[in-house]
Amino acid sequence: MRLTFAVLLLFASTALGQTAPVVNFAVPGASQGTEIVVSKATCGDTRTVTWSRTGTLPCSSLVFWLSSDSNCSGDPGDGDLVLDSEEVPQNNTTTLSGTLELKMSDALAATPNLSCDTQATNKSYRVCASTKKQDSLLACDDTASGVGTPTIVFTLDPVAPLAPAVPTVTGLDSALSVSVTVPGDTSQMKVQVVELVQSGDDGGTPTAGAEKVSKVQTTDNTVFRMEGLENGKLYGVFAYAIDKAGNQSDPSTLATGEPIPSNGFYAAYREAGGQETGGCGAGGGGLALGAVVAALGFWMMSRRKLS
Amino acid sequence: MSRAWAVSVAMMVAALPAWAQDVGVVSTEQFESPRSGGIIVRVGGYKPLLDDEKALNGKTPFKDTFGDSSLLLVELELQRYFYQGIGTAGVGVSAGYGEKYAAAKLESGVDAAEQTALKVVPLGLNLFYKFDYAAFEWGIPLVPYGKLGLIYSPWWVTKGTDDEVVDGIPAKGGKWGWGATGGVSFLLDVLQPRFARDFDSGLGINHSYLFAEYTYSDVDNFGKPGFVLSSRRWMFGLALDY
Repeated sequence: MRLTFAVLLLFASTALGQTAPVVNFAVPGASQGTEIVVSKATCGDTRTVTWSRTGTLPCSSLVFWLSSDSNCSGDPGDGDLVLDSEEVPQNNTTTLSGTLELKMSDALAATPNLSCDTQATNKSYRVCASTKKQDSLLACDDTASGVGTPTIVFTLDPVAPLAPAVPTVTGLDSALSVSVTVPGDTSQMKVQVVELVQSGDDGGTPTAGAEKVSKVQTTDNTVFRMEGLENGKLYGVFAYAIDKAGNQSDPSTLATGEPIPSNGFYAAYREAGGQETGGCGAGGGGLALGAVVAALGFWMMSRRKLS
Repeated sequence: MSRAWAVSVAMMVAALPAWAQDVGVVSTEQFESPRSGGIIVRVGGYKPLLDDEKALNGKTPFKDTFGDSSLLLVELELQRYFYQGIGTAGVGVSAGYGEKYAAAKLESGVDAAEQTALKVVPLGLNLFYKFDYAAFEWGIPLVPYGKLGLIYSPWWVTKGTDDEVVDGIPAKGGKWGWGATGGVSFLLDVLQPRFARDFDSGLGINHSYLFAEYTYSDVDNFGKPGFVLSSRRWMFGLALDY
């Protein structure tokens, strides 16, 4: 009886030493959060996901793969891509982290007749890590379970956003203010200012010429200030939408705008005869007063109150 | 048994003075921590007398650009008391910020799409006296006060996203001046005496006031040519003694 108890205790202590495996994924840079999106142009490029793990692998190896149906349980099936080079053998205790190298072209190739060129719609894969786990009685499960977290999605987006509506252009001093409307599936907007070329001698409709200046902003700022332009000259303006994958839309309809000189308050003041020419006054004494104010303020606040 | 009773009675008698101290009436002075300075926050309209510059010959570029309304000025002042007797006197330093935006003008005088702004950061160093004796000794919750000090006001003008530059001159600088202020504070402690005492014992804030004050300032490098950032203004705020 005492021997049985001792044996049970021994097994229990072993079980206590076993912890369930967990794999933590991270996307280096993480500019796109837990979603990695590639375009048709970057379909063959390598994207990386780092991983680290805790726990033990008492029942089977740890397998990394791309699941085409977002399900990380069970064994990889048709259309899934197993990342053999990163597999961690059963009972391994030394390989605790690594880097997965993902190529959308390889993932598509796992399915017959799929390729970067033929895929015309969005296609997503989930990054999986799976292994067979032990139950509470130390028996191994029959099927593997997904142990990766958080959910990382690897997506091919071959479709560019729709072209934006024609932007609203307002003339500023040596600049143009361009207000754009953001279409769906867009993460960035681009505005391009171009020279206008007069077609023919009859003063016909001008067409877009060489680019003068362009700027890209995220969609939370839909007003672009395009600087470095010549007052009194008519420019053409295009807007483009760019999605997470980097696909750029067709240009919007051409808008036009002309920078206009304007006077701020100081120009109006000088024009009226005002004699202020700036400067700190009285030999830069402002710096001295500023320093005195700062010092006194510090002194006042730092002196400990008597109690 | 009788000895135990005797000991008990003796202990109770010995404890009576302490009990009396604990539940007796306590004057407010007993709760008041020492005062050493003040913190003041105030806001008000600041309308610089820029159009009073002699060289403008009656032209009004400030009014033409910004209209008749004032800049909203916010100021913070820290004070240190060096006299506390019949009233309180000390030295104070202050810093503020005010700005006003308006449309820039096209050559035709029509509003442009661009904005222009005047921004100022008035800095001050002053001596002050406040007659708070009546408030503390006689219970009259009004505290008149006065200040006299030196002012330095950095300023700059923007157009669009940058500082404006006209004929190669960047529109920024600083002006010296002086200012005198008179005002009256209302001692808030009279509204909630118990809360005021807790405020003192908990945070070290002896008294709190609401106030209104009038400032006469000449900020024009003591009469030299250029911007006149002088003003005559009312300001309102909250003051705390600590």
